[in-house]
Amino acid sequence: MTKISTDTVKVISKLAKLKLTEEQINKFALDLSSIVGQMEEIKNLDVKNIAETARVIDEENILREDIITPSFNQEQALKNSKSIHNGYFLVPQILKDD
Amino acid sequence: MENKYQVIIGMEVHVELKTNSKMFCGCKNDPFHAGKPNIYTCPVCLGFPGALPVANKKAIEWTVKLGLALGCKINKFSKFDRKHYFYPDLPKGYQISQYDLPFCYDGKVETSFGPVGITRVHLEEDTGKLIHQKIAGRDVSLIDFNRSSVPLVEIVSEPEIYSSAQTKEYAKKLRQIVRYLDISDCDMEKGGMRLEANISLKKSEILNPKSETNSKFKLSKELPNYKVELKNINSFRFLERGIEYEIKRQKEILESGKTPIQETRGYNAEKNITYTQRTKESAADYRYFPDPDLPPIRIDDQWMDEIKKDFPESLDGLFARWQTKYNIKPELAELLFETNQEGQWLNKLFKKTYEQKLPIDKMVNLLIHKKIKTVLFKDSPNKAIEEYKKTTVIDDITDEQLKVFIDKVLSTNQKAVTDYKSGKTAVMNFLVGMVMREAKKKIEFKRLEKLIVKEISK
Amino acid sequence: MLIDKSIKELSSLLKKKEISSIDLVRESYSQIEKLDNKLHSFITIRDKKETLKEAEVKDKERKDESSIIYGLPFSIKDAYCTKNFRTTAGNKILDDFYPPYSATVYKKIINSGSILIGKNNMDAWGHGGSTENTDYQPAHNPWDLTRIPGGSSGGPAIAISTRMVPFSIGEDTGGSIRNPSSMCNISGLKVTYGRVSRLGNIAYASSLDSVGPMAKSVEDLSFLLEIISGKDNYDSTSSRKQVENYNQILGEPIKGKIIGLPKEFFRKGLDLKAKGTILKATKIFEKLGAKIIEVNLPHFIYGVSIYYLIVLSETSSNLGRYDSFRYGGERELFSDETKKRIILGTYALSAGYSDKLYKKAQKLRTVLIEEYENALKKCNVLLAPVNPSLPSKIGELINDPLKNILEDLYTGTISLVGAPSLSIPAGFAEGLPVGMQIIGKKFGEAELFQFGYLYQQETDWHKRLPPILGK
Ligand SMILES: [Mg+2]
Ligand SMILES: [Zn+2]
Repeated sequence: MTKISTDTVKVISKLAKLKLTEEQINKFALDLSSIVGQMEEIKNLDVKNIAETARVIDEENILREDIITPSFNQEQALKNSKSIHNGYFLVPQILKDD
Repeated sequence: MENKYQVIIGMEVHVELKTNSKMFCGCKNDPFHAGKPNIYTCPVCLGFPGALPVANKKAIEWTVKLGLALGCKINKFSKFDRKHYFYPDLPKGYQISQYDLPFCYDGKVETSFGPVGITRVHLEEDTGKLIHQKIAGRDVSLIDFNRSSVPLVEIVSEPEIYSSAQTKEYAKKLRQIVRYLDISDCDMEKGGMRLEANISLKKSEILNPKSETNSKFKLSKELPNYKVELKNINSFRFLERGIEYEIKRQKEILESGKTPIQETRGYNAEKNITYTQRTKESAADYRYFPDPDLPPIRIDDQWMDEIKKDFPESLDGLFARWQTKYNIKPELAELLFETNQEGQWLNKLFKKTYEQKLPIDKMVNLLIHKKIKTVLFKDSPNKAIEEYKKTTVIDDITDEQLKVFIDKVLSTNQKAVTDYKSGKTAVMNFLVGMVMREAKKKIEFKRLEKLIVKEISK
Repeated sequence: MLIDKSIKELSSLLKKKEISSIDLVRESYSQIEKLDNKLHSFITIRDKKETLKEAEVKDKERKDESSIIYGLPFSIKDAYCTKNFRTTAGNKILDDFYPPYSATVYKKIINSGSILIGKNNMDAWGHGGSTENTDYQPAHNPWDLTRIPGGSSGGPAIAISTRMVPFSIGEDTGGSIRNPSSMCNISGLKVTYGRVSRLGNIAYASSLDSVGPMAKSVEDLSFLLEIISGKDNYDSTSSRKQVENYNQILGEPIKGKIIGLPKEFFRKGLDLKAKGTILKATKIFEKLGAKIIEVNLPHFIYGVSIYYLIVLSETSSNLGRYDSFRYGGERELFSDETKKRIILGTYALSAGYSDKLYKKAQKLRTVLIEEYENALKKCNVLLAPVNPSLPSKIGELINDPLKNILEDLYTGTISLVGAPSLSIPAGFAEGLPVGMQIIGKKFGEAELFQFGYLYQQETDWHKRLPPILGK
């Protein structure tokens, strides 16, 4: 059975932008190991030549014409944000020039 | 061997399409003229909970059109995928892009150094715009989502470009093709067209030291074990310089026995250097998967015919036609225009010029030297032809009218007349010039000379 | 109690002016005031004065041709955006989120003249089957306060079973309507994927999420489905298939039709008392002239794993937008349950694992679809349990992560194929409700109603009220 190590939890939580406490990391590694263990029941199933299903609708080409529809005004766009400045959303600087 | 390192470059070019509305919502696609931040926004392009994308048909058609213009094959069955990463200008935590089934693949762009393969052309959405500032002593970023979800086409080339000059030519050619298709303004200053070069060096044998094309090196498909991504370049000149700098920098590292770090670098135009932006110690893991919110796209023959219907003549085709019919060299034709309108206008102009039996080579010459400015005569080739006649040939002035000016010039320049009479015929140039200045017109030299001689010998 | 009456009766009484919307709204609040401090069905309740005023207007403007739900109070799972009205999806990140737009399903109901009373409790983001994983107060089962009401649409199920509202709108990703409907003894429909617009539904797993009605009877559901279904130009995955007059088909006989019992759903793991209750239901269908056969869905025993790999991958993606910059609080506010689900989904999609986990699950999804389609070639509908066990004690599932996910075995698998499934009361075991699901062909909701309606004409399970309501 694959074990989810605490290191894996750390790497993945970084990818998922989640900050975890030491305690959470340990607990999650344990819980997730048991769930992944369960999921590995599919490991030996033969899926050769079987297509992947990403959606269960048969329709294709559901597109819109290139027509402008009304947008928010600035106030509506910003009203749920806790941090705004002169009509912009304001965030602490993360990485410059990227 | 004088140059044991050969540069290998692959390009990734992003171009914003100029559709009316955005890629996945009906907000206006006009981020450069919005006036205010965050006004062309809605739940979709702000990534609000519960919002769902609906794809813009025109953007898909234009992407396919570009693919066709680049000689690409088209994927009849295609889809959108989610590309995941976190950044404040990416409102959903993923960008809707295309992963394994781009609309177009396997094309080619010709350059004077040799062909450059196009790996793929795919459609995605742009991010919002970040402005870095210091507010109340704090480093902050301001986000404007007017640009969020603007349709963005990504054109990826094969690593088949072997010099900074070829890179520049490739990028310019690409811009010309896109603008000729009339699907983007490609404003590089504002980020409407963004260039990225993947640069690495490899030891290569020189076959033809004097060659100026890619036949100089012995080319092989083998790639070096590193590459440096050069980003944030907003002009062709900077692209060329940035690459030159990188070649020098990487060569020094390689010659010292080390391997350049795999990283993303920016170009500083003031200092003319490149600098580290981000090292890829932990490779990005984008966790692509098909976007369940967007049904797949199937381009059947009927739709393909519709797309091809208003497809302009290919650029290379146009140049070939101009060459056979008007004897215009393709190298010159390439210099003449950028946008589709300009191309069409020139086509009309050449046709008229040809019909009126005026020399086209002179016309081309004037256009290249900007004596006739394309922008000024956009609406009417006829006006341009008038201008052309003014600058080149005989005017609508009669001999009688000219006689008045000639008399005036001769009477005020008695010395020149005497000189001429005494055999100093070179003074004729001066007299002709003076008459033209008086007449405020360009008049055929031979005609004026004849008239002046006639007056002097009276 | 007025709200105990069917939608049809209420509409008729309203149109005859024998009762008023004001009466209904008053009764709605009185039930909530009496019971909700024990049950926690609601997260946000509208101001009573405001809704009474709305009811007054409805009473005045009611016409003969008004919609059958005109002037009826209703509630909606807090997973739906309601313009300028607090929408939390059961979690603290959105504690003060006031959406600038409304979900299509909500608009359709409001446009039909119903009066929103409030937003119902749920497992945060739909992550759970017990309504314990809410960041607000864990909800309780009206039939036994020490037990879970099911989830994640636990709030709507409680509100209907205790007659706080005549109907509600839930959301079902892998059982979130069927499971609490079964545990609270109400009727709920998980629609065919694409039948109802998802626009404005705060996404759990986009390729499975479905919007559906919850009510007291199949008859009520048939009216609601017609109102909320249809193509939405702002949801690319909503179907263009024509919406039927679902009410008209009710009462048509099912004589000669075939019900398939999927063998794999009646094996070990299924509570014996629950199994017995459902097998008893087959006798009623036989009496109605239907034939019962056994069918095979061999890969459905792996359904839970396939289901979780896909929904957690998708939820890890869908929850990426919560970065606190444009709305909501920090990602740290995700509950541990949600963080675990995000991490597992991220893991299943990440380089090196994606082929073995996410992509393999997608291939097995194809296998499930084929098996389901083959089974439905042999029969008209499938009949299956909703839950493997009776409602758990509160706290039991939260402390057993594996048991927690196995609860979705019978429902999640059906969601993977996108099929419609009707959950209706089938009886009681140990005094607790037991539901069953009737699963149909895609866009075969009408046929499900046909079966469910006739069953409810023969039984009165669905009319039984929880003891908390007294006599
Ligand atoms: Mg890109
Ligand atoms: Zn928008």
